[in-house]
Amino acid sequence: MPSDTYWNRRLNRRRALLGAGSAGMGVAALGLVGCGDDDDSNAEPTKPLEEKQAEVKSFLWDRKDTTAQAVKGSIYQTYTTADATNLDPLSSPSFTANAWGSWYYPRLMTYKPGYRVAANGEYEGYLAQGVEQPDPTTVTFKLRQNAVWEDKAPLNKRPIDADDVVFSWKKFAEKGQSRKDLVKLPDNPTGPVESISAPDKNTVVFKLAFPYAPFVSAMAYSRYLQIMPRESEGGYDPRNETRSGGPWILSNYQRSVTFEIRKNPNFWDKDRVLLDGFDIPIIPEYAAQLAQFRAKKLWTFGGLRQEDVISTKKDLPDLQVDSNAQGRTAWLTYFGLQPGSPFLDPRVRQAASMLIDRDTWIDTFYNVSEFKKEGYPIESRWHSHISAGWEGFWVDPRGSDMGANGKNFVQNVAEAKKLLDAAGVKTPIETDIAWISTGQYGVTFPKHAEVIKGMLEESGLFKLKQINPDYQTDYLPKYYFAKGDFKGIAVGASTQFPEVDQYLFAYYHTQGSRQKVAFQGTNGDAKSDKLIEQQRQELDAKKRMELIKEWQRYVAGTMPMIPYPGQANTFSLFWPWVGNYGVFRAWDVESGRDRTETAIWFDKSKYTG
Amino acid sequence: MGRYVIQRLMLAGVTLVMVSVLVFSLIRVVVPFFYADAVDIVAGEYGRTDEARADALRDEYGLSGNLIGQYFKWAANVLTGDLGESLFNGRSISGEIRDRVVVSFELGLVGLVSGLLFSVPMGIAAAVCQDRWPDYILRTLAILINALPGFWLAILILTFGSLWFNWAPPLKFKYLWEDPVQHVKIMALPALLIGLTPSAGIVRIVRTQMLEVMRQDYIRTAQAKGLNGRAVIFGHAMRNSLIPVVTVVGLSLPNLIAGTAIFEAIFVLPGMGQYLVSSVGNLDYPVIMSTNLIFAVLIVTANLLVDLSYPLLDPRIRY
Repeated sequence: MPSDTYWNRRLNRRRALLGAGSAGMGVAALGLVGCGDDDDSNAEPTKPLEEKQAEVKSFLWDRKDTTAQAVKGSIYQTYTTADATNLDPLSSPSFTANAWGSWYYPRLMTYKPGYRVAANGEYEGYLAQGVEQPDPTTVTFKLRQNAVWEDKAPLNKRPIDADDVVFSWKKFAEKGQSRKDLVKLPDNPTGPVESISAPDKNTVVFKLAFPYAPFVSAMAYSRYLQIMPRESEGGYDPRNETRSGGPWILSNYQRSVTFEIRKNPNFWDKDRVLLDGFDIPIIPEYAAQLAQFRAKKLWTFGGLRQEDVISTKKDLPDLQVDSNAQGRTAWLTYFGLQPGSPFLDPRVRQAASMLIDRDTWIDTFYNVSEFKKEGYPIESRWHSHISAGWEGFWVDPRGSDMGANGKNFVQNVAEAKKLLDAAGVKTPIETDIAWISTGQYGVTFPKHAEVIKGMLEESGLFKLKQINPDYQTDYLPKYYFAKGDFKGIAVGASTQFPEVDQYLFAYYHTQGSRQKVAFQGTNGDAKSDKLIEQQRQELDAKKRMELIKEWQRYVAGTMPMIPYPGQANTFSLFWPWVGNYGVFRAWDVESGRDRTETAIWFDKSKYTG
Repeated sequence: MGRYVIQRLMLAGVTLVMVSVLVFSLIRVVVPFFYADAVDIVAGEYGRTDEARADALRDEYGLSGNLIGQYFKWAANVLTGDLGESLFNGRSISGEIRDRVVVSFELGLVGLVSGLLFSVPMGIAAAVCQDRWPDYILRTLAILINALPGFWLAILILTFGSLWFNWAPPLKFKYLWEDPVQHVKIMALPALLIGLTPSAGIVRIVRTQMLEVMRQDYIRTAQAKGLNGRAVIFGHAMRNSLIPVVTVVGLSLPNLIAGTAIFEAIFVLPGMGQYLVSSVGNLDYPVIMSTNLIFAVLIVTANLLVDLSYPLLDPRIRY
């Protein structure tokens, strides 16, 4: 795209991100004092890019493993942004309970952390010491025999056994929020798990309805099966109390104020745990979080906005900078498929995709140019119909592996016009575009959608009427769950799943748990369905990967919806006394409390707080 | 006086019943009809994919029965002192309120007192120096303070504090009886900021009232008798000018207690504001009903106390 085009003038990152009042008073305050602005005209003379890159390389965290020098003890200071609805992960109507539950309730499996590099979704035993699959539809977990519950009534260090697992599974199957992803139910016949049994105290057997490749991996995910003691039914109130079976104990919880996590002295592998615990106050306000981090009262700041990274590092040179792994969500632009809709024709959907300038969009929302200008190593990726963060599964739309359909991801207004002409559609297409303007998908989401609308209209091929439906009363029933029964285009979010299969099945398969979601289309797509079914039943990892790639190449042509343009890696800042920061990298942060948080330690020699 | 108080208490009872019926109708009838119910909101998109589970949750939370019966059940419990339990975590609402109201009350009261200590002398000084430069400066300052939202000032203080002095308020809340020093460190700044904005209005009310009283005959008489200015202002004018101030202050106290949510969020305080905001966000009906009732009681009580205080300030007023 030429440098003087409308979008390069208009889609200035700063304007796009700061133009909204919804960006919050914190940003406004920072803007006032100038610390959020890295375009300072009084800045030091510009250094050559090579020099900047060398400088960034010198301070970019090398994820050195310092476990050998680790000194045990101390309480880690961090924060969270929201309270938990309650503390029962198996019956709460909100996932906040699962996020907290993963600190103290064990799971059968856990994700293996990446060692100094991004994790790849591999799993290993947590409560389970061994897994066997005697036939494709039977999975047997052997439980470790040295696992006990917390030393607190009514459990008092009782061994964790197979009856606890059966109890937890039954509760999950009855009340779990995400039960439809796994449990076969009368109204969910495609659920893969049929039954559970416990032949002895240390053995649990799951019977599957069909060979289901991601099943064992799913047992590592914190939003599925967390193991709770059977005494949680009547013995204590699990909505307000916890009994740990993992490395951490919830020692103190003050609603809407703080969570205090402490080391579990009865954890079977307690020597692996380096810290004594975590203090986690609830700080919902961004400016307050940033102030506490700058004042060294928080040791890390996971929510630091990318536009604040460079300036904060410049202000506080002692801070360490780490480059994060690519995320695994790709949100969606999807189509109304009412009779007479132009989007029933795949050529129109392909044309719409060709109007998106993916690089500009990514630059706008991931601060790519600014990071590059300052010498930071940043990698942009385009999403295919799965997120670019699904390493191994993702097919790069710009790569040769995508084949001929890769062209549908490249901005090409002339080609789009030809496709629309061939489809016999009168241009500009006058229709609606809908997205929620409230904060359910985060404060930046409405800007994402606004830019997509702008890109479609800039081509002259679309004339769109903006609609901002109410999330509960309009958006969910009339767009998101309307099975395509709406007019025009909608932009929305998707759930993050631990395994690519769950995403594919839920969103793209006509029998998936999100089967009402619009972009599957009324009649579905038999070939897409078949590929999804094949991959989920394929137990050979390489063959399965290839099936998922084949599916991506296929839907790149049919373009059932347009995935979000893409993403770039982000950066996080932390104080240097956090030992082993980012060395053991979680596949899923919420599910990683037993493997990543246990490896962090406090390096007192570097403490300046 | 006794008859008046009894009448007022009876009216207060009617007011509280009307408030509770209105709130119940809004959150149990109007909001679910036009927007969503508690299960829709908390279960979100997952709830919409699992209707059987969503219906089971409605049964579990007691949302699927007769509405009028539910109201009377709640009211009967309240009359026996039981404010009920949160839908989502089963926690006793009375217990939560007991823990939180002290924090909010302290914030509101300290804010109010500090605001008064600041605004009453300013108002008097502005009136005494009417249309001279101290008056202009004080009035300008009052308008400026009135125009600056307290939470915005709080964010500025946090931002500059961390930028320039490496300072941020303590994160670990302690009650006064647990650790008085830490408590004061945590509470002082938000309490002062909470009192700042209403104090600007009080400056202007005090000034206006003082000017009006200063023009009264009895003030002129006092001056003619040869009393010095201080005696005239503090002995005669100030007391008579305070009736509207007492009204405003009395009525603003419940608002100060209820309106602390943003400060609680910024300074990590376990007050009533956060409790109410989070319960509204989740449509936690029993919590909304009970906290609204508590705030209504506070407002009705403050009104009554304000009215009863008038005879103390002006002996001409009798009930």
